[in-house]
Amino acid sequence: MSSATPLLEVEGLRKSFAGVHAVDNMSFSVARNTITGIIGPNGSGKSTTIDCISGFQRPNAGRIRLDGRDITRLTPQKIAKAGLIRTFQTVHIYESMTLRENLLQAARPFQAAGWVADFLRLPGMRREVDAAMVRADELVDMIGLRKYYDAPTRILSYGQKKLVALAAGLMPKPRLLVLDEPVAGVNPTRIREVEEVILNLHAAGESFIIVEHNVEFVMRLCERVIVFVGGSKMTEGDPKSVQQDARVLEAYLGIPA
Amino acid sequence: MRMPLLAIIVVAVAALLPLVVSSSYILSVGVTMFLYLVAAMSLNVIYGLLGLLSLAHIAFWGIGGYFTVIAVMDLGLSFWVALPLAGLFAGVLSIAVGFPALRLNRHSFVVVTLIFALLTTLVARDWVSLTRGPMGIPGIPSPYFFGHEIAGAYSFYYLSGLFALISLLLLYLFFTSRIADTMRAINQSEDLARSQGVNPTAYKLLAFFLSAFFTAMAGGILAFNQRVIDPLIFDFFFMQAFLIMVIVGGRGSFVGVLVAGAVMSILPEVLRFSVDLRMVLYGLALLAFVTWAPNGLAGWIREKREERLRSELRQ
Amino acid sequence: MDYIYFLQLTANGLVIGLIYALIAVGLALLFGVLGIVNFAHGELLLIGAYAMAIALPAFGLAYIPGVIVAVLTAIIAGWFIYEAFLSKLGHGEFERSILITMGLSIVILNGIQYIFTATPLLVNTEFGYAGVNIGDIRVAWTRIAAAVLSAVTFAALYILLNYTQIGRAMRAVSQNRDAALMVGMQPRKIGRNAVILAASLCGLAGAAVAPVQLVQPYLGQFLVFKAFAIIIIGGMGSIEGAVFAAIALGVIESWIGGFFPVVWQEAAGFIIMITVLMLKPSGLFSRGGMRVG
Repeated sequence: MSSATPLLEVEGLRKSFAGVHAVDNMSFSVARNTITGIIGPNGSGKSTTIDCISGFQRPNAGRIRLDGRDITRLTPQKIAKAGLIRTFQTVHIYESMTLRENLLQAARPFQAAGWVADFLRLPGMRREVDAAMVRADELVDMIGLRKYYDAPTRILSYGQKKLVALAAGLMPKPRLLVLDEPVAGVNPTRIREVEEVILNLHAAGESFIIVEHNVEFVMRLCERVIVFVGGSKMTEGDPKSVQQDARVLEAYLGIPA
Repeated sequence: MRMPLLAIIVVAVAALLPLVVSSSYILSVGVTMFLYLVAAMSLNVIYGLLGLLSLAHIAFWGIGGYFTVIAVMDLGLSFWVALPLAGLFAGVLSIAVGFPALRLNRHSFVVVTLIFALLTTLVARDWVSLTRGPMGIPGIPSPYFFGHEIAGAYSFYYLSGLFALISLLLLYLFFTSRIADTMRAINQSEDLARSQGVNPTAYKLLAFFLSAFFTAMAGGILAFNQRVIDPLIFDFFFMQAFLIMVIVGGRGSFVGVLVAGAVMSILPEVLRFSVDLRMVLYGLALLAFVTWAPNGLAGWIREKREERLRSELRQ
Repeated sequence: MDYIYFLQLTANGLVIGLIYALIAVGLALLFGVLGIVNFAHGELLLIGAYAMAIALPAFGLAYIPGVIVAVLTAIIAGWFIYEAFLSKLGHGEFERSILITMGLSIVILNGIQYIFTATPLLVNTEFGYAGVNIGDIRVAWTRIAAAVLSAVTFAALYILLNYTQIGRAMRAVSQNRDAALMVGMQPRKIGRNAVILAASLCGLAGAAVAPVQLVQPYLGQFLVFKAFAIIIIGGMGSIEGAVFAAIALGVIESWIGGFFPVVWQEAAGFIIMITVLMLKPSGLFSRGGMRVG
């Protein structure tokens, strides 16, 4: 695909629950190699939109394209395989597995080795495991949790678990990583670490969508910000202009225009 | 690397036992233990790894028995062909039942698997032309191995022992494989697994197939050992026994269930209680473990290890 | 077709259906309020049945005192089970509730078998085998008593659930647990009430069944699996569904048993259940979204 094609295109997305429109006529696009932020007050449809584009909810209407390919009605696992990986607002992690195992598991479905190769421990499988180990090693150092590499993730703090979820999302080298509130509930020092990680990865060519309530975080990190209100896009632009947009201030902070 | 050595010693002892012991009672306890171990470990795959409490497990145990017997006695197949065929039949059937059952929510899933088990009991009792009804099928012939008749405690001990050895070995390889890791992942967070590209249904159906496959063959050997099969093979007693072994040993743990299964097969015989009292004790054991140690012995060991690790990492 | 025969079948079916309903409603109640599937439900009935069998001779075969003893015994058993085990379960621990109630079922069933042996008991009441003729149909007094008992119970249950605080609290928790907790309802008290209510229904069912069928240790198991099928058909937390499906099943089973081989009678419940599951998996009466499975 040419680099002119947007990485992600969302057109006319609509999703309602029991008559309430959580998302109504949502359209936006995301270019490759960018960090795009999505902000908006509670109930503006951020999480529902993420669920729809990652296949966890079926949209009632609209189209979603990843690198030109229509992924609207695909199952979450197919969308993941297509290159769109997402994290969860409430941190999802394999609690009884070690940090290392969590990372390796995240890469497994993307490897070519099937059940037979796994069961017979064929050489091809072993090579893939080794490659995954290398990547996991890099990532665990990147999130600074090497000390807990072989501990069950159950014992980690909330913020640490969020970092692990981030690293796991990166294991399969996704085309687009969608982070759902990656720093909510994380203490401020860690937030800086997360920023660095994301910036480094961006420099290496990774694309991100970051949904966040932490407006400062988004403004510092993102090249472009989309503002959701009432289930649709209110405005978008670079951080500075969005910050100065009176409508955004009103919607978000309650400061009248 | 103590484990492999320990395993070899245990297998050697088990293999040499009949040469030392002359009591056929002890050998028959051994037969029961071998077959129960395979059935319990198979349950460990669906319930232990994936957390699916499928009460249909007992159905495949009985279906394996009936299929093997009918295939040999009515269709004239050799025992050595009928047995794996029974396994395949049960496996395919488990997928046919599992596929719609998995669509239901957790509660309905359990009840529906239960109903399936009851249905098979019904069929065994009432489809008389196929299963000879409530009286069952007596006079099951002995299998022949290259002209050598397999009959009596001694031969069945080796038959079931060899079957258990191979099955448990294969199951061990499975439990330590990445497929099992993915199953454990699905059990802990199905959403996370899906967001990582895993198709949970495929894994669940695989688990169904494997557990039904091995359990059915165990049931088949049981039938030939008893020389008679009747609808009592579907008795819930077996389901409860296998469940207790999995829970006491620790869901998802191979070694835990292996040890618990062996102990719980042998112990009641050693203690010589009446059947009813034995079951009461089983029930109390189940209650005790589910209430205070739901992750079984293996889980308890793991928790202790984690506590130690936690305190170490704090420093 | 023999009209009289058909009416006779229907009458019998109604009686059985009412007993099924007593069992199924208790099961639905426990599922709705506590979120558990009670595998020991049949054993609560068993306790009621055996209590009835023992109490009757002590009271000179008088029916009502026997029933009262049966219900009280079942209530005591249910109360103990709740305090000792069920109250300790968290709300989402569904599989654990199955295992615990399964364990209880094993202990009770085999305990009773150990004490009373597996020999079936023939239970006699003051009514003996006497019956009444309604037109050309004959109905035994024991069956009439069972039907009356059930009908009165359902009337009382209706009043309880719709017009009393206790009942409305149970319905509230059943419909939306979080909301109920938020307005200050106490789960432990409501759970206990639900268990006592369900246990008394089982005790009643046991007392009603004892004179009608042979009492043996597996009586509970046989009936409770029917009840499982019934609540699936009716919708797992739905009381109205349980009553409707139970009575319908009792009557349908009776009709089938009257004209076809016994096999089909037993299979009827399961076949209906499978059909319902394929067409409307949440059950006939469920509102969908009542319980997040």
